[in-house]
Amino acid sequence: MTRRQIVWTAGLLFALLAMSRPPATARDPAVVDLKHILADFRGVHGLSMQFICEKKLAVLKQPFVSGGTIAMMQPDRVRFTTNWPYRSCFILRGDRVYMRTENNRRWHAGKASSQQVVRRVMRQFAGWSLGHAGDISRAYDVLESNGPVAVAPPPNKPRARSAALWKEFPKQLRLFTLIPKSRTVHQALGSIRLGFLPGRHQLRLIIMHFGHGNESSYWMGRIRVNPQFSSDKFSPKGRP
Amino acid sequence: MRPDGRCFEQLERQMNQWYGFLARHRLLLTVVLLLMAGLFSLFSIRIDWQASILRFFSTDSSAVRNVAATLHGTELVNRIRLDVHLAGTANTARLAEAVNALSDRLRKTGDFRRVWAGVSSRQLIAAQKHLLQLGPALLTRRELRTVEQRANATFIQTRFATVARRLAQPDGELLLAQLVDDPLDMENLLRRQLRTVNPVKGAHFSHGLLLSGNHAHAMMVLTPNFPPANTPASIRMLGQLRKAIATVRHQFPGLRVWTVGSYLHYAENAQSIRRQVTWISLLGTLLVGGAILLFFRRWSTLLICMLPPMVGLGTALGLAGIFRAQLPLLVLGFAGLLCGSTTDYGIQLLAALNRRATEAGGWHSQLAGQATRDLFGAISMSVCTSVTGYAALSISSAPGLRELGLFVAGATVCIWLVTFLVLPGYFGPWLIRPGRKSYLTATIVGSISRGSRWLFYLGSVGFLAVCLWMGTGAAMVTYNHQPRGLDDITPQTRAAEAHFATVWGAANAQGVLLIQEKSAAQALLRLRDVTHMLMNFQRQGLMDRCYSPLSLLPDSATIHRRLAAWQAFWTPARQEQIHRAIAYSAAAVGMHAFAWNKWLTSLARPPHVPPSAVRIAQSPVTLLPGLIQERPNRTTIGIAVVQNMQLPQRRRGHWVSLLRRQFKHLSIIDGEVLLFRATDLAESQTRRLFPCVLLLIFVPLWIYFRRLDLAALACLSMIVGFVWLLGAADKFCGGLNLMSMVPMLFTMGVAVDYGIYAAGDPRQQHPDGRPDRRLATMLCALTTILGTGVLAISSQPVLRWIGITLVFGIAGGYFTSLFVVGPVTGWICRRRSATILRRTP
Repeated sequence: MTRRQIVWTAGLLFALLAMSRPPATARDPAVVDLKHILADFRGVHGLSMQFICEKKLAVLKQPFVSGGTIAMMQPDRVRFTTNWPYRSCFILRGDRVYMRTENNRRWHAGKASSQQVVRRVMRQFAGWSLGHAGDISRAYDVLESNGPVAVAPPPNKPRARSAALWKEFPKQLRLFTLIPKSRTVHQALGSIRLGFLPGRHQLRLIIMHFGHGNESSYWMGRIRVNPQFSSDKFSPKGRP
Repeated sequence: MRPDGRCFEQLERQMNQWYGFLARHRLLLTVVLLLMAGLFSLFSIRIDWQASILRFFSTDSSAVRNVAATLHGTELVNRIRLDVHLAGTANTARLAEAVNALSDRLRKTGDFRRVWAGVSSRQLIAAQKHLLQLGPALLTRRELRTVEQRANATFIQTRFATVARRLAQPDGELLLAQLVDDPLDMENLLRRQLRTVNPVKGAHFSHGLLLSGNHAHAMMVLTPNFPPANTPASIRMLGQLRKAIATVRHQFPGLRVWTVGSYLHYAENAQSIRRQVTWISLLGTLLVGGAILLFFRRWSTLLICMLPPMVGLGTALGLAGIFRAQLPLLVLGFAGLLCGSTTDYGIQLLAALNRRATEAGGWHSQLAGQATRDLFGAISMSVCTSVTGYAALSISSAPGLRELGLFVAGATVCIWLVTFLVLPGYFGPWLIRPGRKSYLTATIVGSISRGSRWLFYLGSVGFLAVCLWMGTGAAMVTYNHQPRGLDDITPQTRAAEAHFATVWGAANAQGVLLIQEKSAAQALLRLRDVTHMLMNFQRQGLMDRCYSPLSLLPDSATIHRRLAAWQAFWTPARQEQIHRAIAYSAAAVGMHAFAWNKWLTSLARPPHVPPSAVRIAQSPVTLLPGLIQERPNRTTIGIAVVQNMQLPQRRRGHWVSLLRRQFKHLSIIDGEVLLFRATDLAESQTRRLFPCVLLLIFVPLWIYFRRLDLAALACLSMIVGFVWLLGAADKFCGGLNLMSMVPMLFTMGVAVDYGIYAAGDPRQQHPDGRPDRRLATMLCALTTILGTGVLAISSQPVLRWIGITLVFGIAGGYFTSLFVVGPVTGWICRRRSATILRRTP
């Protein structure tokens, strides 16, 4: 083989290798790390947790604080229960959304467009929590940072269980900021920030930035992996 | 009838000189013919072949004119709809992914101007915002009253409290945003209007898709860049579509897609016709050649007989290519018919040549001219009658029939010229040598020569029986206005259309009305009038139902009235009252009242409704495919119509006539009505043409024979052939249809030939007449029937109908010449001879 042939062959191999490399965004360290973290939950059958939610909306004079529980089960079941200040429940089963508040006599199937949007968001979060990362880099730009996080607001008394959650919330989390690539989605949802416990890879914080200074934050705690759910946990039965 | 006279003798001498010249330069002649063949085949590539079935529909039909007009430039009918679903219990999210993947693939093909896969979030948000802005203009009086009832403190407080209580829910932010934009919840009222316009069964928008009632099917609408009549592009585009679906199926196992639309009909019909005409023309030619070879047992004879049709047809195609003529693809299917009917000339000439040679005791150079002179009259009359029948189609108002008739007539003329100017140049002693007769020929000739009259009488009885049978059919035959199978689409496409209609209902509506006006305001006014008329028809049972966007698109006057009423309601006092109620309610639930300032300001100033054109374009109704289209200087609004199938066939399209009387410029596209009107027109044109063609054939025959009785006898074969054709149409084809003009006129032109041959030879007496002339006529009929009969075995319905009826028509003409015309002619001539003998002293 002559020298020229070797150079040509090497160049061709290099070109082929270059073409076969995955796109740049998929190789982003932040994306890789996030996928790695989310993959840890792939074997998890279900999760349950408590949460405290703070909604800072421009219309509200003061932030709105609420708390409740979230239960998730593979492949697509979520039960979002708000215990305070008002009781309500959202159940996601596949494509269907059911909701009931303490003032309703029965469960309603959620058909309004707002509920469909929520359904999609809940599915996505449930998917991430249960290890289905999908191709995050296709829909979001991902940035990673480490640092202190805002403390969860104190719950309204007399919710003692939530008070314990508020006290034991970690101060430092591994943070990933997801910015939607779609302009339409970005106009409605500016960014999503996910906070993971270093080492244990638990999702403990979700902050959603909407437009015009609106923000919703969820602090999660008392996370149980693979709990025993009752048979009708994800069925629209009983009171919320 | 042999032309006599000095000029004919001189002509015969000149023709003999010409034939002699050709015979001496036979090789050169062959080379020239081959070069011509090559050249004309190159030119024939320039022919603009048309496969659209619409070309066989009369342009006098307003229904056809509507279709032609709307096929250009309206996206409302030139669409392909896809039903996308996943087998098994798949969820909607997965379906949405599949639809998005398919949309991406289809956009990359570049064949589609628009790939509509549902409502994008941006469209939905924009439509809802616009809906709210224009709310006052769209709300009916009852809805406005509802809004007025809500404009009080109690309602507002309740609403604020409900939203505040639901703020903890995951959709709390969205509910709050809706409260800020629409404190009186007008959006729900407006959304109800959308549902009334929805022509599909329970379909709704979800996940950005238009989903069926059971959430399992999603609809996509594709608008190609070209009209469906552009069949090569349609075929290519459908191939790309299938490839895209197959690729996406790899990613989504279980993906099923049903495709419906006029493009499939055009493309599949064109492909079917193209496939059929190729093998039909080849098979017909082979069968004709085989029959000739079987009879004559000589390749030279086969070549002689096949030369005129091959050269003549090739010349006609070449000339059509030179002038870039438009020809229907069906023309190629008639190559077998042309071949079969025009080999008659060569067969008859050879028979005459053999007769002359027998009389002269061998070959000599004058034989060619003598044989040609013997048969010049008969063959020319045959050509004349055939061309009359074919060319009569040129009077039709259907472009395809005109082109078919003119081409076949032109090709026949070319063949006639080749028969008399070129063919005798190949005559020679090799054609005279007696060949071994086949067993079949010997049997037929032998049995007749032995004077077996029983076979003849048996045949006559059979002939009469068939005539009676066919006659009963002919007496009862009617036009079938809705022939099944005119459309040769594949069973898969038919099944897909049936499934689609089951799932989506009137999204596959039978008819579409298009209101097209220069301005949107005019279109809206017309829409109101037309919709009211259609509602009346619905109440009277003339149609099943119609889907009109009237409820969502009121006319300008109504809009102004509503805006005025809205403005009149929101007096400063009432606005202040609402302002206070909102401020109080907001404070009670911990919200800033200033968030509603923008909404309150909008009450004082009702929205300026721009020219209706803008309103229509941004109306949420445009989210539903197929209803409204906006272009500069033209607004089109569509109304879907479903016929009342309980009505008798003839009454189903009655609403169209009533509507057209009132609204002359409406475009009404309805498949059944289109076919019905086209068949009606074809029937009336055929009734008008028949006596004219009969006269055009009879008069020349009368001049040729110089005797009324012989001309009438010759025409008898045409008439009986016609009766057999009608009987076959009734018994085997379900009646006549809009294409029946073709076999009728062709039969009139071809069946009379056998009568001409039989009546023109008084020496042909049965059963002791001249067997070779009788045999030649039998072979002529056989080759014509074989060449035509291949059409009868085609899977393309149109070709099959034409083939069956033509075969019976031609067979009827032949058997009439055999059992009636020939014997009667012989009897007339014998009686005449006896009378002359008695008178001779």
